[in-house]
Amino acid sequence: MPESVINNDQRYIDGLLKNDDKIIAAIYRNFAGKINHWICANSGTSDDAADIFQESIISIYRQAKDKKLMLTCPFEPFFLMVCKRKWWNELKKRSRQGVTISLESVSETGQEPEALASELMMMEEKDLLIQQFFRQLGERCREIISQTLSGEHQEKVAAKLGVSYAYLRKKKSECMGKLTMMIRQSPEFKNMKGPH
Amino acid sequence: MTRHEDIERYLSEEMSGDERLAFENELKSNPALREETALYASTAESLHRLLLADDNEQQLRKKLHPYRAEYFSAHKKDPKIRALPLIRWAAAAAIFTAIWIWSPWNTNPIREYGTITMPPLTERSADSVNGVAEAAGLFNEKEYEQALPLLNKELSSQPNDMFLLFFRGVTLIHTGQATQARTDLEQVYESKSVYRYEAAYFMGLSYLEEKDKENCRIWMEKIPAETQAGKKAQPILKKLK
Repeated sequence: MPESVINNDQRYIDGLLKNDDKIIAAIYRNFAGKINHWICANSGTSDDAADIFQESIISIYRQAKDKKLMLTCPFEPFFLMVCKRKWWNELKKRSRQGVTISLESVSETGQEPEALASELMMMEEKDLLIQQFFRQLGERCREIISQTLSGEHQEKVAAKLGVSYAYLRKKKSECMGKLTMMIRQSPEFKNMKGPH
Repeated sequence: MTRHEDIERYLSEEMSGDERLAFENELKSNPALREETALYASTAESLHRLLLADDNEQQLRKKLHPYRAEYFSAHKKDPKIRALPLIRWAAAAAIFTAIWIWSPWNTNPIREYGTITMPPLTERSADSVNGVAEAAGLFNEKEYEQALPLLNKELSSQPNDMFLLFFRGVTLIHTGQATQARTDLEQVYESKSVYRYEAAYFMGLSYLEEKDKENCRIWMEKIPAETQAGKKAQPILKKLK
């Protein structure tokens, strides 16, 4: 991607990272009505809208924190797109017959907001998949992975678990190998586009 | 040494210069290894994000909560609250300052100190996929009464799962069933689980809730000060002395 200009609305992202009260209030004040109206007009309730709104803010916060999200478009179309994509996914889950809104109606806000929202949704889908398979690992594997990713010095982790560091590293790589195999063999992973 | 161990050592920067060079050359010529290394690295990155509780995110969630009622509820709160004249507030504050000497058991210890996130963090869309994910979602929303039957169900098929036992123990404390909670938490403490010190911490809190200072102190003292649980236990221990 060519070097893009960071939009002035990056302040929303920076504000979320700092838990800034004014920014949080501004997001609700400016966009809650729109999302409430849109979700209620698309088979949802105000409760659904509140959930989707909140989870979208949290998702953007995570994307900002972990992926250093830089806004190359105004915040509004990006945020509304994230909310709409999340609602679309929720409807897909609820209705096996298909959703009552089409992707086209979700995709009217331009390329840049859609690209940023897609990247965010992709990260979340991948996290969900990994979370699902992580739960299926044996307890010892889950424990070893959790401990080694805690940020603590690995020798200390080994001592805490009562094993040698070499054994810990070997077990961790085996457990991670099991996990990547489960992920790789899943149809969801095969359907996922883009980089891992 | 397996390929995954090579990948682990490469990503952890534990290879010698020559080993690293050879591995990088192989990455260039071996697309399968390249792909597996990328998947391994991105999986570890995701797990890091999912498994580590983010205090700042918890704070953000707390801040968002009041806006829900304000912007989405059909029955908005009446913003008018009758205020006491300032002078009466000041007088009341002075009286409380004078008589209120902090003691942990004068608060609600579980509500005050018993917050913990059940990882992996869950999304709404995970609810139907996995019973544990659903329980975690309810637990993190503090819907302990609803989380409990889900945890019981999961434990019926995995009775020795320390992760589940620990979170059921905490859930039982929050639902006022301290005796049953301690059975779970003691089992976790006796194991080598990563949650063993957190289990000791919640054992201590369960006694604190009952104003049993002695047993609270005994359990809090079992926790090494440098651990995450130890950092939470130390201020309580100081107040108990």
